[in-house]
Amino acid sequence: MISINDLAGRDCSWLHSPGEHDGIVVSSRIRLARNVAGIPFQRKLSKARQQELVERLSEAMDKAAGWTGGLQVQLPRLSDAERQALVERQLISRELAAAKRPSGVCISENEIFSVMLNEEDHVRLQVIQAGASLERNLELAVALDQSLERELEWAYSQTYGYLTACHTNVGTGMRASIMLHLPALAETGELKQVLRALAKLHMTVRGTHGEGSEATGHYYQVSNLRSLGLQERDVVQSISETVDRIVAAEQMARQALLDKGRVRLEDKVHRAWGVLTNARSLNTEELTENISWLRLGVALRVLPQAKWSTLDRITLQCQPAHLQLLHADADDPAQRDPLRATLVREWLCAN
Amino acid sequence: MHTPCQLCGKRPATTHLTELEASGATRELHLCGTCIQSLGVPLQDGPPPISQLLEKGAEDLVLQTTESVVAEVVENDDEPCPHCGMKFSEYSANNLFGCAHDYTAFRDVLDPLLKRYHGATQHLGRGPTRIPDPEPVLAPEAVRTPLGERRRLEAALKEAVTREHYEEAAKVRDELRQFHAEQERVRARATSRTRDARLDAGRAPAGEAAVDEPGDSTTPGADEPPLGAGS
Repeated sequence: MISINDLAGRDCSWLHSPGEHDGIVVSSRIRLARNVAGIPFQRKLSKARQQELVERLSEAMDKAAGWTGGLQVQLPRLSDAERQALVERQLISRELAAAKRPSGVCISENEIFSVMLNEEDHVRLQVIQAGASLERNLELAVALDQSLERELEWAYSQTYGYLTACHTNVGTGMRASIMLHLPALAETGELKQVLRALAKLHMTVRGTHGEGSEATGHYYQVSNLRSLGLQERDVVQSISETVDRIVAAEQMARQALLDKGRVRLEDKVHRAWGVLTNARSLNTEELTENISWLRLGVALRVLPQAKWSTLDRITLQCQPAHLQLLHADADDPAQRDPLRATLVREWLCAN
Repeated sequence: MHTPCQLCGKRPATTHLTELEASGATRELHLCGTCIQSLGVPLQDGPPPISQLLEKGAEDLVLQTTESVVAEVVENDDEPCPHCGMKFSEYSANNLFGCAHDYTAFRDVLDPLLKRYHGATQHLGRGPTRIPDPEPVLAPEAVRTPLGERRRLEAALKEAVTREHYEEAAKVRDELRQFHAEQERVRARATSRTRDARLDAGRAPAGEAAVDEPGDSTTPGADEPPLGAGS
């Protein structure tokens, strides 16, 4: 069994830039929502019965095919920083990290699978990997779902499909998301048009950490809105096709930045480099914004001195809870910001 | 006869937009004052394109539709789910159901909500490899609760009237009357049985009297099987 500290010290499953599209497609995620038949949903379940549910689900996970060597933990037993680190690694939702109720998470050794217990639904099963991998992730999610079906009976209706706590998830219970890095579309102002077009296609765009989160560092998550009356593979296909078009638009916007405003672009990228290699104190927001420009600079080959792997490492390991778990004296922002600046400077300059 | 607003589908439309497309075809959009206001579209500079209005409407779809459906239910009746005790009006607070049975209990008000959000009311995706035996929660269509039946008939009546299909409406009205009469008979039987049971204390099938009044029975979770049982 691995610990949260072990996790925090290493790469995650979903950040391996640049991937196939110059770092535009960051990661792909499939989430399935499931509830156990005969047991009320979370809001009508007593604390004691929520605890029983978490234990029963953990047992079912133990028996699921091929599930070995990962991390299985009840969230109330973790420290705030440990729970937050799981959010930063996109293994649990912010909502679940903040909840005080009985809950748990099962994470596979490679962090590709994560199964949240007693979230809004009894089970939220997630498969996440770097790059454009929705189809493959769907196969993996279905395989785990089928394996769990041998242990548990899901609340299912021939009419409405998988029954979920909120009507927006009923049917397939599936949310397919692709996280994109779109700095050029944001810079040229074309992003708004793209977002409007997505609404027409019944898709939505959110920040990195899902519903209600802000898009920071030009990261955007494109997901399906509808889950009833559609087949899983059709949803995945339409998201993938849409993402292909957004990627093409981002590539054109990048080319336009190079062609029409090369000096301005180089200025932005190199100023960001200047800040990150010189600052003595950096908060998360400032880091995220500047790293975004470095990513664009590396992708467009105007910043030969930076490496993708370094940018990924900074993005993941300079988040607040990761710093807190991996370093002494990093419990409050006043301590973390100087530490963050030191690490960023060292890692960038070590290239 | 009022045309209902195309966004909320409830209030009568007061603003009627007609757009002439390049092909010569026309598109119409009928909206009520409340929805126009909620869209925040300035109309004094001439009407915006219909597509833009619909797009804007889609953004707040979940919130708006839940609110309008809830308002209507509260106005009419708001009986709780017999299994978890949740009322549909509570659903609007955070869009979270109490149990899987809610999909059966609130079926008649839920279907329009699902239709508007998902554009569908029938699942097309995959299902469990081992499809469980049909039981109430698993096949809502197989069970008609008195509450569900009443809502179904009332909705059908309303729709027939809206569409001005008066023959159909009369037929449904008769069915509804028959339904109420039948409910009355069942209730009377249950009451007399309860009275008999009280008189004949000790031998009473106490559960039976509650059969027709699912509304005021359960405390949340009272009928749940213990975890680990039954699956």
